[in-house]
Amino acid sequence: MSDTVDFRPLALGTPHDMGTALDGRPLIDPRIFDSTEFRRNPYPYYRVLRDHYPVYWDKLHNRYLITRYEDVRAAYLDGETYNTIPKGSSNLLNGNTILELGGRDHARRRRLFSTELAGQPLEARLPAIRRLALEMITLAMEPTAKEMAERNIGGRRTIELGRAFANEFPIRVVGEVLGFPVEAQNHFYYWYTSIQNGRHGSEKAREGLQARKDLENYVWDLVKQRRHKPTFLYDEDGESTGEDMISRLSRAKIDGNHLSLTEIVSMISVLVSGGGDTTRGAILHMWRLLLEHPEQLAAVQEDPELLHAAFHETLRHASPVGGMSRSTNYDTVLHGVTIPAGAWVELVNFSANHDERIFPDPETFNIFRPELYTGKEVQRGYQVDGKHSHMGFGLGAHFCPGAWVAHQETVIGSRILLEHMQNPRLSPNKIAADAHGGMEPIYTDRMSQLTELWIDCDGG
Amino acid sequence: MAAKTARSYEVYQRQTERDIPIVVPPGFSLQPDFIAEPYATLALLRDNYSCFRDWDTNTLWVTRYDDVTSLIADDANFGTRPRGLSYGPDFSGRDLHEDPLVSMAIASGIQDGAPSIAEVSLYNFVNCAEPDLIANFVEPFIESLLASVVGIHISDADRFGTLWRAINEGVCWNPNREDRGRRAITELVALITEYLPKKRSDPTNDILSAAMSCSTGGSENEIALNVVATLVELDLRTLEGSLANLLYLMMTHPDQYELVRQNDELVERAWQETLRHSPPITEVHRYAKREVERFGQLIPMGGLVICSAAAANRDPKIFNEPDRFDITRKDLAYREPRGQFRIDGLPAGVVPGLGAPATLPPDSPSTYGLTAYAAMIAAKSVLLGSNHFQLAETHDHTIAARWPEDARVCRRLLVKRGA
Repeated sequence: MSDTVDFRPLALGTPHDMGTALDGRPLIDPRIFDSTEFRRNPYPYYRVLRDHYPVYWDKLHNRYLITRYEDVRAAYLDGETYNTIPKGSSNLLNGNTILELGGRDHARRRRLFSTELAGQPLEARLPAIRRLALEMITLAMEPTAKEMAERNIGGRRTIELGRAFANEFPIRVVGEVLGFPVEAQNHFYYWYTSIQNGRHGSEKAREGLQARKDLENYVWDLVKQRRHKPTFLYDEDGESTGEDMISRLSRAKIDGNHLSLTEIVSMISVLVSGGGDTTRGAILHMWRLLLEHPEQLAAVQEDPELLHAAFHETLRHASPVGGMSRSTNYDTVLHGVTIPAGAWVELVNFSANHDERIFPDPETFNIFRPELYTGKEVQRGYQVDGKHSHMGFGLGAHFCPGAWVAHQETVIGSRILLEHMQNPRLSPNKIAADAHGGMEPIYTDRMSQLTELWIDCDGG
Repeated sequence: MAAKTARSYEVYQRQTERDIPIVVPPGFSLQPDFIAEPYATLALLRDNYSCFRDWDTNTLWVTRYDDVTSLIADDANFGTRPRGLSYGPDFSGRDLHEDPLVSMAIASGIQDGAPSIAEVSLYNFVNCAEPDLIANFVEPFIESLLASVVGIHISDADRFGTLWRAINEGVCWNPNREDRGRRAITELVALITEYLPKKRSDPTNDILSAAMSCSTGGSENEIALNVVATLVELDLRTLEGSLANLLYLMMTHPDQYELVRQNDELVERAWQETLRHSPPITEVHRYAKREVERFGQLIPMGGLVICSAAAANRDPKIFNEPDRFDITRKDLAYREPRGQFRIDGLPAGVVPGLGAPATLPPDSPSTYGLTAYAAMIAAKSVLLGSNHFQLAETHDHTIAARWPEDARVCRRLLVKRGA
């Protein structure tokens, strides 16, 4: 093979032939990971890695990829060998976050907010989330002035689900949970997008940094106020359900000291980036997949409780987060490969979720998959009676603390969407064809996803 | 090996505007324009960052002269990893190049063999049809020299050279090259094994015989693998590349070539200036042995620091008009390959690939000394003899790398006989 490569787009599911090694294994050229082809069609390459290189040493990017479900699971649960994400990697705009902490330091910071994101405290917030979703969806489904003029009320409508609902809804939920004043929520969306777009040294990093400074200034005032005068959240009946998150963070003490402003902002920043794009992706991916599988959509319409299974299967089939990185504390040997201490290890959730050793026929979207666990999220994962939880939220100490919120948001929002959209279907003329002539595949690079999702429906 | 503790705290490192990599995009080192011509980007790095963290390739780039030299010399905190590791655990050869017998064989092999091999190589070049100085002089010279040092017969030198090249190029991120390297290892082991019985009965002064004496009890296959491992560590890319680049720079700077012809003592200066101006190996890889704070940056344990010799050697704080090739420059002293030495207040160029000065045995020449010796012999035979070469009119080649981390050398140099 030459030293220059051209990874043309291939049919989904087919990998480029990169040659065969002396021992008969297919070769994987690490330049594929930087290619557009990989971003639109990663799964066949992951299959090669799983089958032939369960630990792949990518010398070009100086990292190791772990791709099988059981190995990824074991690594997530072994926080001693596979320590936190590499120090500094979440640093740029989010600041130093709890992702970089381990052990006790991690646990007691995480506890400050994780308890708020599940169980009873979350239950108390569900009505507010439901109200917010209803408000947004009703507004989105309202006929526009043009449609009114054309007397198209109740007729065919075309919406872009992202703009109509999924882009902003998760951010507003986070704002709600954090206790951001309503008037700040528009700013909040701007801060969020700027920080998010500016990550990892893109051109937009400077704008992102400015947004972070603005966010810091704003939060600083809130922290000063709420440290002395906490504000509260209320349920439907006007009963207080406890302090909002910013008040809690402002007043929390670790070893007798308040958290520093930068730490609070970093925490907010990571909560927001953790809760924004990810949930947006889950909503868009789930709808795209359901619309592509009308018989499963019909089943969900028949029994909306199936939305829970659909959510889990979406995160298995097309999780918005590709994986997490870890740095190794010690030299460790896995499948005959020595991973040296301090190495960068990618735990590839995408690949684990498509591991045919666990999920037969993994490329098929099937909400009735018998081997997939579809209950409440479990931090250590679920492995009972042949049922396995998906890897979309990671596992172990750094298990996504917002998993249950994301689950609830997606299900609640989608339930309301089901009620408001009659006969929803993919809008064929609005969806750009990808290079191969088919529909744009669900993007599966780390943290990226469908850009938009156009749906035709009959008005409700 | 790390201490058996899981660190849970975080050293807080606030990033500010100056840390935001807008000047140089992430993953810059994989881009074709950087591979073709890295100096412009390296200058940006040197001007803007003392230590640049590139998340896309998980590397830290150090580019300023003082930083590069201090980091290379910091054995306490930064270490190298053997090149052979690249072939993974199946490649079990033991590197013998620091063994006294083997290093003696290498030293005397180069010292005894270089003059006659240079002469023969030049003779063959002058009489061959294609006047390409690299393919028909530099490469055969290196391959024959190495074959003679190893103890391979001249009739096998071509085949040996091809295998050796494939094995060295296989130390690479590219699995295709690696695979070719593996195949070459198998072939080279077979070739070496053919030689062993003869060397056993009739030992000579070469690596094969020395390897047999210091691998007593090992099978022939093991001995052959050890020799291959030794060859992987003893990579002659700096010798070969510096020779190629020197010839290129001489041919493209006729005025300086003229100076050399008038004063043969300048050949060594020209070679040193070549190593500064166009080092064939542009970067040294160092791995942090523990978490270290340097250059205002936290370098994590195991972090890969790329000490850019190319950038350091063109640091304008150290070298006047660093982009100019000038064999008479007053601000370059060249003594120690590790670069941290300064003689009479003059800086030395940073040259990776020569290795630490050999410590065993004390009176034998260092890797640097041997490399310089062989390079001088070959360069003098081409540059000073009665053949006065000039660049051929149609020449359009230059010094370049072909892929990330490749050596930056001239690969084709068409010349004609001058007046």
